[in-house]
Amino acid sequence: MGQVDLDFKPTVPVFDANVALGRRHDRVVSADADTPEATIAELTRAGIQRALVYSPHAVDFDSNDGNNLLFEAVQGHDALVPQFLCNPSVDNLDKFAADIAERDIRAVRLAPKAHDYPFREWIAGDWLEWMGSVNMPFWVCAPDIDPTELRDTMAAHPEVNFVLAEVHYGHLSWAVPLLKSLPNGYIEISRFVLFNGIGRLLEAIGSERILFGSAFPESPMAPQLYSLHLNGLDDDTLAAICSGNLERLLGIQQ
Amino acid sequence: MPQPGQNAATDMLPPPGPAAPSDFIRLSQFAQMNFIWPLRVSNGGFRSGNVSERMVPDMPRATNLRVESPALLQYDTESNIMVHALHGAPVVTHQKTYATQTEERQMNTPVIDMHSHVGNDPSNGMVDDADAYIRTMDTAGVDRAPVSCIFYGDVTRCNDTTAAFVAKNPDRFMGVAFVTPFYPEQAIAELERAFDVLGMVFLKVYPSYVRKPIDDEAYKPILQWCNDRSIIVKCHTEYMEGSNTYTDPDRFIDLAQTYTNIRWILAHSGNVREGQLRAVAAAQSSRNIYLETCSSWGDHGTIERLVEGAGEDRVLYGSDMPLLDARAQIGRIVTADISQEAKRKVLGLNAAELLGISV
Repeated sequence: MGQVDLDFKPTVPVFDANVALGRRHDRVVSADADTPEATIAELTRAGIQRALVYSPHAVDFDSNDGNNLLFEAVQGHDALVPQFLCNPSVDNLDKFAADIAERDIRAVRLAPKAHDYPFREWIAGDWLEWMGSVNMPFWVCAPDIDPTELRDTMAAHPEVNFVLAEVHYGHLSWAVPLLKSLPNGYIEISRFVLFNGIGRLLEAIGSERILFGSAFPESPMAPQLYSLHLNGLDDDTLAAICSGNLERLLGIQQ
Repeated sequence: MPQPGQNAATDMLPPPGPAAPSDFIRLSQFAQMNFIWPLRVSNGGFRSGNVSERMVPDMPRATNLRVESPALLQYDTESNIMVHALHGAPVVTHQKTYATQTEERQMNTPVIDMHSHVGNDPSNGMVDDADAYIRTMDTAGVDRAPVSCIFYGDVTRCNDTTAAFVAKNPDRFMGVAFVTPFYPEQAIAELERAFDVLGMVFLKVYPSYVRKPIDDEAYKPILQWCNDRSIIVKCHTEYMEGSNTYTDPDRFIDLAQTYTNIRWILAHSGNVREGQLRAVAAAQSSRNIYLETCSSWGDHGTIERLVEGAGEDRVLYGSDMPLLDARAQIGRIVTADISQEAKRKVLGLNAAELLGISV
């Protein structure tokens, strides 16, 4: 008979590396989680302590406006760690860097296709130089970037860590080879639900560059967390993937 | 049955023999242990291969279990945990009495995966290695999986591939037939061969390959044959604005009322939110429509939406193995905000009833 724990809760601390906060303008999102309180309630139900959150408005329209809305929303909610969007093609780097420093932002996010720019040195080079100088990692979603542009540009900036988020099985043919070739690349696994996906990543890049993330509220928080607990990982490795690797990347004390 | 505190394990053990230090297992290190030996657990028929720390939830974190040979770990409702040898080989055990609520936590019903495949699609990471397949099923807690091969243009080759795969592990897999309407003169003969000779348990169709909608004339002889024999038909379904509508769940409303002896399984339940809403509407229109859960997208609230809309008796767990991983797909059911009874039904009881498997 089936052996399934119907009351699953994670056994290690969990820090979700991929959560959006706020409504989208173009579609209804299934989860009623457009407020910090609702998102935290869902985190609690899933047994997750913290989440790195970004503004979908900053992706879809105005990075500056979205970042400000996000920062305002998370005030007083320690469980929600803000991540700012930047658009290297139009944003002012000096102003953005000052905002980041003033607000103690630990990670940024890029959206080249959504913001309609090529991820090339002549667009993003100055920004990547700055990220390297302040040890600032960036996130980018796999559907939102050209893999060749990512590979070529990041090979020239080995000092900058980046996280490839929302990698689907349709990206498998390039995503894993890219991560193998770039030691500064990490993967967030919310969409990486392919057969033995965790085992393949462990074999290809080891455990230190794998981050648990949920892609909430588009997706539920806990299924991939459940799967991680059934991959035969020892407690240290499980804890690293669920929170430790992200804390290290963000420079947050464990 | 031994009583708490009774040294039952020692009583059951053969005499100790030489130790094998490399086989030291520390329970505190693992949320889930994968034993490297044949290992069976005697509590209610848990399948061999996996022992979870959750089976003994009150076990102290520092507890060590040392097993030095093929072993039987026995756990009973009086909270005893025992380890003893298989094949007369020696073992060393840690044995202790544990107060536990495991009977309430552990599911004790079948888990049946109603969406699995045979065949390879390497660019998408899909390889049907039987050993890896079964290891993942064991780890996920899946008992049985009806499988189909849908990749060859020659459906005879598809069904032979499925039958050969099932024949190697008939206690874990069941065959699912596949036909297309491309060669109508062959389809009925192949259906008869698949069900009467190869012993398939239901039919899978995939109109997106054929680029004909499921309610196209070309499918009529196939569906009529299935209706005449009360065959279950599973069909890929999806609906997204801007994509093709070959398998729009709306199309099944009339079909289910035309072919009333067919029990329809809408694979993926429309796949994304828009499609799910249509799949639920289809299920609400006809009692012979069932909704299957697997998806690589997995919108938030999917399982809750399907169970609330179609009812907990008509939602079926599926994984899309070996394209997707059974653990993440079961996780969608286990962590959904639905009742424990609904989880049991979705994970296996509904499928068992549909397939006529006694539990």
